[in-house]
Amino acid sequence: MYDRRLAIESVAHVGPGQFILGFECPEIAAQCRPGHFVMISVAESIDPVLRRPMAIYRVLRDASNTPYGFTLLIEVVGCGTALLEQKSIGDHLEVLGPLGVPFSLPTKDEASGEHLLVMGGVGSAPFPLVAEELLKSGHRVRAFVGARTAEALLCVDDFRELGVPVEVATDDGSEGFHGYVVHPLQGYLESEDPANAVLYACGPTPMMRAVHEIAIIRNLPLQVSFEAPMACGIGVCLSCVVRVDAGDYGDWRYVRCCREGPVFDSRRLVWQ
Amino acid sequence: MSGKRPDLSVRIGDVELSNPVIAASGTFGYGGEFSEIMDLSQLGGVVVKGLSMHVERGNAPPRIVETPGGMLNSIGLQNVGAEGFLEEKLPFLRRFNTAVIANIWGRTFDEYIAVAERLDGAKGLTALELNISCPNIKEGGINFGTDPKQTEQVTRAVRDASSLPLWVKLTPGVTDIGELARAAEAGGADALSVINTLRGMTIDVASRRPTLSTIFGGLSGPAILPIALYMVYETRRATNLPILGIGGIEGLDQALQFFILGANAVQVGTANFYDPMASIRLVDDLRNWCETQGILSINELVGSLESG
Ligand SMILES: Cc1cc2nc3c(=O)[nH]c(=O)nc-3n(C[C@H](O)[C@H](O)[C@H](O)COP(=O)(O)OP(=O)(O)OC[C@H]3O[C@@H](n4cnc5c(N)ncnc54)[C@H](O)[C@@H]3O)c2cc1C
Ligand SMILES: Cc1cc2nc3c(=O)[nH]c(=O)nc-3n(C[C@H](O)[C@H](O)[C@H](O)COP(=O)(O)O)c2cc1C
Ligand code: FES
Repeated sequence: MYDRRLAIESVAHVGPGQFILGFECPEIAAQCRPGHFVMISVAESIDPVLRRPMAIYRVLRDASNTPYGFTLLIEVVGCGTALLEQKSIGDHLEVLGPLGVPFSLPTKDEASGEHLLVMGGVGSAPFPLVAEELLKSGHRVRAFVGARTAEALLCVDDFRELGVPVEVATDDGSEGFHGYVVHPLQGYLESEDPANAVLYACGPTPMMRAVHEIAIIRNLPLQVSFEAPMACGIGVCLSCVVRVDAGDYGDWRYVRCCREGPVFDSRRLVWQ
Repeated sequence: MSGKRPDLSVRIGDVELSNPVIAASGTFGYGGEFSEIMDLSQLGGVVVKGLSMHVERGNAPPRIVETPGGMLNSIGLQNVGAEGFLEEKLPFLRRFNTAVIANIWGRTFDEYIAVAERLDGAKGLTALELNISCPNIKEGGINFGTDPKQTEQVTRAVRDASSLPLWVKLTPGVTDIGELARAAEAGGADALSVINTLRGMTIDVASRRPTLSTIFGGLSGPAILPIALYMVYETRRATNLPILGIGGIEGLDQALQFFILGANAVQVGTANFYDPMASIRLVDDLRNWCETQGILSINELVGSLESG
């Protein structure tokens, strides 16, 4: 974990209110695992005062494959992300990270079935890195990407470049399946019945809950990356708590999404 | 380098701190997380998250909402309990050369006494900080911190239950904080922590509901600085007890204002969230500032307010 003031090295607008910011920082980049996040400042002033959590999107590597930087894929949803959209190359942000528990991915030698990545909206951000890592260790990956509209779809090109098969769903039917992304997932599981499939999900809570239900019915493992409002991102403020199971009697307790998560085994969570 | 490094050490009653910068309760956990990015021994002290006798689960989310220049929280005093603190947290904190202050709270006199007794004599604990901002359930919800009589009684009860130095943390939600300061002093307080958060709320317009699950919460951050400064001013007029100035401190400028008003040390709270190195940097900045000003001891600054 490092706290660094970093200059924005690259800015790319990729969709309506969607953009990618690039940073150089070998220390942070070297520690980034798929599913990690950073806390970034949005204003130089005290309004808004808190930093925002953002998933690591891609890790940048030099010719010798050494990590030297990372990018963030951001969607405007409120005042902080709107301010970030105004930033230009050379502007500085405070960046703390990498933070949180990343996805637990199999190593080269571990046998596994197909890895199915299910994502909605900006919840797609951590998944190209997940796919990259899985492919590197020889595993099979398939992506299910959902968004409101065709324009708002994220990461589809990343997956295609990596050679990952992609199935798309849009709320308005402007591309791919007309409806929620869980339907193509469901359809795929029903038609292919892939043995030992492993599920991953990130996106709106109802979508993750739907994937969780599928995982339970089909007895497949599922890791979700959960979002909660965060003030500190490092585990000291207790603002980001989520409910997890505590024993056999329907008992539960709070854990910190920023520290014990954001990635959880979906069966640990209490889905309200 | 000049031989005369400014002396940043301060005394809070019988407690000697290596410097006057302390991490505020509820904004620093139990120190473990911050130790990953800083040397806790560089801090004057760490006040841990408010401890109760038993483990506390805390309030339902959402527990925070951002406000202009600050934030509201309703964490609900989630904590590991006195036992959990002694077993799992204090041994770690003992490794550092920093004062460890246990912030404590209860819903009844008995709960305050129980947690104070349990922590009494714990190796490595420097002082207790009494959080009296919770309602006294037994007395029908009257705040321990807003009724001078109750403030004095709860302070005395804890004073009698523990041999540790006792800091009483005052709430700003009162008409005359000086009266509460004198009540705490009469009850046997060794120092006063000024201030805790202020009550506030926001509404989610779309749903017309309060944003926080608990309707209202505690306001903190830069937005409360002028209120905190005024409260320290009034407290200093009411008592000669050492004061720990708290509220909206981000760095040197705010800390200096507290010292000039008569605070003997400061606590950094919300800034730890959005600027995790804020407290460590403040120690360095204070030292450098004193050096450039030719100030040999930070105590020269304390209470140096010019009037008229
Ligand atoms: C672990 C994690 C990873 C994330 N990764 C990404 C990412 O890669 N790209 C991206 O665009 N967004 C990501 N988000 C969501 C992003 O943090 C929020 O969209 C952003 O904080 C909203 O800020 P705002 O000021 O624009 O919105 P506002 O609604 O004005 O924000 C006000 C407050 O609410 C909090 N908040 C609001 N919405 C969310 C939310 N959905 N999740 C968490 N906190 C929220 C903010 O932190 C802030 O404190 C992630 C969230 C988490 C928890
Ligand atoms: C999230 C949060 C949790 C807090 N928890 C406690 C607590 O457990 N006990 C306590 O006495 N004060 C608690 N406080 C109050 C702070 O210690 C401090 O008095 C207050 O936030 C004002 O300082 P600041 O503006 O620097 O944050 C908490 C504050 C915040 C923001
Ligand atoms: S965001 Fe502060 S504890 Fe998780």
